[in-house]
Amino acid sequence: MAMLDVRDVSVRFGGIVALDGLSFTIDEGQICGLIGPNGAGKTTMFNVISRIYQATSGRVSFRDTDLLQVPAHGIAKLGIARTFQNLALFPTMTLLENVMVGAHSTGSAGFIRSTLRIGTARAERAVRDDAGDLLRSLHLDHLAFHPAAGLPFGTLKRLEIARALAARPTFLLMDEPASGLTHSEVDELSETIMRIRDEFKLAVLLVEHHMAMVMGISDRVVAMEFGRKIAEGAPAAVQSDERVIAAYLGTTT
Amino acid sequence: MPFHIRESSPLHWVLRIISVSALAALAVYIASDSAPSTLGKITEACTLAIAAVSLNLLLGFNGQISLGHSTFVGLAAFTAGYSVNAWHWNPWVSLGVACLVCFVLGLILGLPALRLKGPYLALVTLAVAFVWPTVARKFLDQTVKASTLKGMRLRPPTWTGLSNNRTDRALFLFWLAIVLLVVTYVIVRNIRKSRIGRSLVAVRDNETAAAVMGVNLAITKTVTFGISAALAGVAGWLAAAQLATLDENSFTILSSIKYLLALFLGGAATLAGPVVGAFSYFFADDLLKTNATKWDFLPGPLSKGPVASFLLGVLVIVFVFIAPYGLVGFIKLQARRVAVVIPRPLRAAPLATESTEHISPAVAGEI
Ligand SMILES: Nc1ncnc2c1ncn2[C@@H]1O[C@H](COP(=O)(O)OP(=O)(O)OP(=O)(O)O)[C@@H](O)[C@H]1O
Ligand SMILES: [Mg+2]
Repeated sequence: MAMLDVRDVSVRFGGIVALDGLSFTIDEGQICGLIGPNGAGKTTMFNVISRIYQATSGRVSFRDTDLLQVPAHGIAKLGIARTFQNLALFPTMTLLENVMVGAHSTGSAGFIRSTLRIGTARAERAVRDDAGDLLRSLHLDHLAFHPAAGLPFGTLKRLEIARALAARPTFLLMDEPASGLTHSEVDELSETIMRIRDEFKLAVLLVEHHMAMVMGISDRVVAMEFGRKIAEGAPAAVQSDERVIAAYLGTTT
Repeated sequence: MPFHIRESSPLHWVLRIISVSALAALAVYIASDSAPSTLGKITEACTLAIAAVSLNLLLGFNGQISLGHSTFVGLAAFTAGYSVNAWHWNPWVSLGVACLVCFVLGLILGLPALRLKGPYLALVTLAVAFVWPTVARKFLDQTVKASTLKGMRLRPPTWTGLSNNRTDRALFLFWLAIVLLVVTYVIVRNIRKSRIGRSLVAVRDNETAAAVMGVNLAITKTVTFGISAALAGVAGWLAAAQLATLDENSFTILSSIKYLLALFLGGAATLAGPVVGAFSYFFADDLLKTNATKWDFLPGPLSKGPVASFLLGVLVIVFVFIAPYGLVGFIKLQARRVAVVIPRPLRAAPLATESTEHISPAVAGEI
């Protein structure tokens, strides 16, 4: 059985149909590319999975769980983490604290225990240590005590990945992680994604306009346009699909 | 080149112990050498500080504005004054009950706050602050059938060795105020430095991202509102212990503004900010008021008495321009030139690769 099963999902905003009966599946451990021109509905699909947008119709199941019944704050506990297209960091916090917030779903100390500081020391130390390891693994450790605000875009994109990994996810959604990166940074990012996939045994849903990158690392690619799926399959097959070429006409990089 | 102090190193601990002891020694000195009226003023400043600390938890750390904190303070004062005088409750029990009542009202006010942001939340809480005096008036007319409610008269417990005269009562209230301020401060500090504290700030900085990280927005925001209200209740109870009479004009929107001013003057979202701000505000206000009666250099309605409020207003505005992060932010910035606290290093890399020291001059922890 597939890990994620998106079935006939539609999302409407007033008159706009952002998703129109979209269906696809992802298996455990797979890197699945999700491509499509601007406005195709890729970010909307992310927001449906992370329960920020309400699906108008359709079903999403994740390992026997009906995802559309889970509140937004319950997603992380199921093992789903994501990064954001336009950065959604905590700017006043240090990089270390940002990553520590990423581990929120793994902790348990509530208001009472936090106020009284009963039995929280060990968990706090573990969260801090793990966050430090993650920063190091994404080459951000030298900035651990620096606030997130004002750092370069590429650095913050990596911070988003570190923060997402702090939740110990098994399914990671990445929304255009390569945007704004230089050529060499993109190559490094590809390696990073493959590395963390193996290290954390992740399945990855990757939205990216950088075709060389998507085609290079995806096991499977889903192409969409106007909220509908137009092609699906191995990278090479999708890349040479007529409808995909037509949708991207001249915009392929 | 500033001096480097490692977080939690022996030197850091020594410095911490010295600063706490110095503050304690200062309190002991003041207590031993001050007139009851001075002790009363410090007690009042502590009350203001407790209210500002409670507002800091809500506004500074969680980003929810409240102009209604005067209502929580007033509600707690009325609860304490009434239960002690009419029902002869033990004042210490009334402290717990007053905080509980405020906690519940805070939770309830936190519900509309879930859907409202910034100016809209300010408006709703402003409305609460405006309605409170009317409600209090009705309560006085119908229940007490008097224009005021008596405050509590706390009798110093025998173990303190203090008697029940004016001087000893002032001394007792002074120490009580200090203890309550310390407790309130420690509660907010513990929350801020915990998993929950990080989630509060995360919600303030980016709600959507916080939710994706697993933070329950509804619970976090309403419970924070409740705790902040309960801590404001501590200030109200203390006011009821100090004031001889309570009436509806003791806790108006002006008090809420005062809490906000104290908070921003000291530095919102810093731990010490509201305390430093409250004391600075209170004593600047006091100094200006006692001296302003002699001043007549401003024309007409602004001369003498009112000039104090006017000058204080100007001072606060000027100050916000020179030190946008408040007094504490300003002091930290200056202190950084002298000494920097280096945060505890990250866990060393597993395969002893080169371990670099992570020093970023822009960031220093709190002493
Ligand atoms: N909150 C919203 N309210 C109204 N319309 C929205 C909202 N979010 C997305 N849309 C619309 O839905 C459509 C799909 O947008 P979406 O952001 O999912 O596209 P995308 O594939 O991520 O594009 P891009 O590659 O530019 O990021 C667009 O027409 C967009 O304007
Ligand atoms: Mg998008």
